Amino acid sequence: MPEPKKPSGFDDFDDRLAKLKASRREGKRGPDTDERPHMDWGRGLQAGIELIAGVAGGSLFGWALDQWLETGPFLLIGGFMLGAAAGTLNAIRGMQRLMNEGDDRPKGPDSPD
Amino acid sequence: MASPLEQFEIKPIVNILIEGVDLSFTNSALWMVLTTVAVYWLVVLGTRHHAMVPGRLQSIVELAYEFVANLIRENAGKEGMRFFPLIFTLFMFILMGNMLGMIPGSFTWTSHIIVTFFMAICVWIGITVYAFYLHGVKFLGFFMPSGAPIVMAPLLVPIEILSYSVRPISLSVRLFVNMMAGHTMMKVFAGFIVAMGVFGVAPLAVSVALTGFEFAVAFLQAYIFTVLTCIYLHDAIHMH
Repeated sequence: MPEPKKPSGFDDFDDRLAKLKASRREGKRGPDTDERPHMDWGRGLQAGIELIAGVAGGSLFGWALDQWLETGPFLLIGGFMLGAAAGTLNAIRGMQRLMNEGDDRPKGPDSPD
Repeated sequence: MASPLEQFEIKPIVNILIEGVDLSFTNSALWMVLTTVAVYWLVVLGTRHHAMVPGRLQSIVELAYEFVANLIRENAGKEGMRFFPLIFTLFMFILMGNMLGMIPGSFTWTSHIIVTFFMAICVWIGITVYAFYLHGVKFLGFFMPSGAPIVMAPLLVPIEILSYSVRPISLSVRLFVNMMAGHTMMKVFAGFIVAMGVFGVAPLAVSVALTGFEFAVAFLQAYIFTVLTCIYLHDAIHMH
C-alpha cells in the first residue's frame, strides 16, 4: 500500500521514471543502479571451475573418441591438453569479462582491446 | 550426529516403475513442483491488480522483471529481449529453488548436478541451434579467432570448439558446487553446535553468519547462471 504521508516516495519514483525514460531514448541500458553483486571471493572460484570444466570436458571427449575409434590413449592425451588450453581460455575470458563489467559492452566480452 | 550429506539424499515419495524404468516421484521432484507453483503464484498474484502504484507483491514482480530485462539488454543486447520469457523463467526457477532450499528441512534440488546439467545443456543446445538458424554455416567462423594466422587454425579451432563445448559443464558445475558446498558447510557447523556443548556458541555464531552468506550465494548463483546464459546468447547473436 502507498503511504499518503510520504510524498518523497513519489519524488523518488519520478526520478527513476525520468532516468528510465532517458535511458530508453538513448537506447542504452537501464539506469545506473549498482545492483550487480560484486564479490571477490567468487571470482577465483569461477576461474577454477572454468579450468576444471575445460580439463574434464576435454579429457572426457578424448576418452570417448578413444573408445569409439579404438586409438589407444592418444586421443585422451590430446583431449586433455586441448581441454586444458580451452579451460585456460575460458578462465581468462571470464576474468576479462569480470574486469570490464563496469563498462558498457560495445564489443564482445573477450575482445582484446 | 546426522551426516551433513544426508540432506542431499533422493527419497522416492510415490514409486512409479514403468517397464523397468524408475520414474518415481521423489522429494527432488516435489520441491521442483513446489518451486514452479511458488513462482507461478508470485507472478500471477503480483500482476493481478495492475495497480499504477504497486503493492508489495507487485513490487517484487516488477523488480524481478526490471532486473532480468536490464540483464538481457546489457549482456545480450536488444535482440536478446526476444528470449526474455525463457531467461526470466530460468532466473525465477533457479532463484526460487535456491531460496526454497534455505527453508530448514526442505530439499535443494539445485545441489544436484544432474538437474543443473540438464538445464545448462538445454540452454546450450537451444542457443547453438538458434545461432545456426541465425547465421547458417557462417556461425562456424565463430570458432576461428579473427586476426589469427591461418597456419594456426588446426590448433586454434579445436581449442575454440572445445572451449565452446565445455560451457554447459562449467555453467552447471558452478551452480551445483556452490549450492552443495554451502549447504554442507551449514550442516557441519550446525552439527558442531551440539557436539561442543557450552563452547557451541562459537559455531553457532559461524552458523548464523553462514546462513546469511548462503542467502547471498542463493541469489548470486541464480544471477550468474542467468548472466552467463545472456552472454552465450550474445555470442550466438553477434558472433564475437
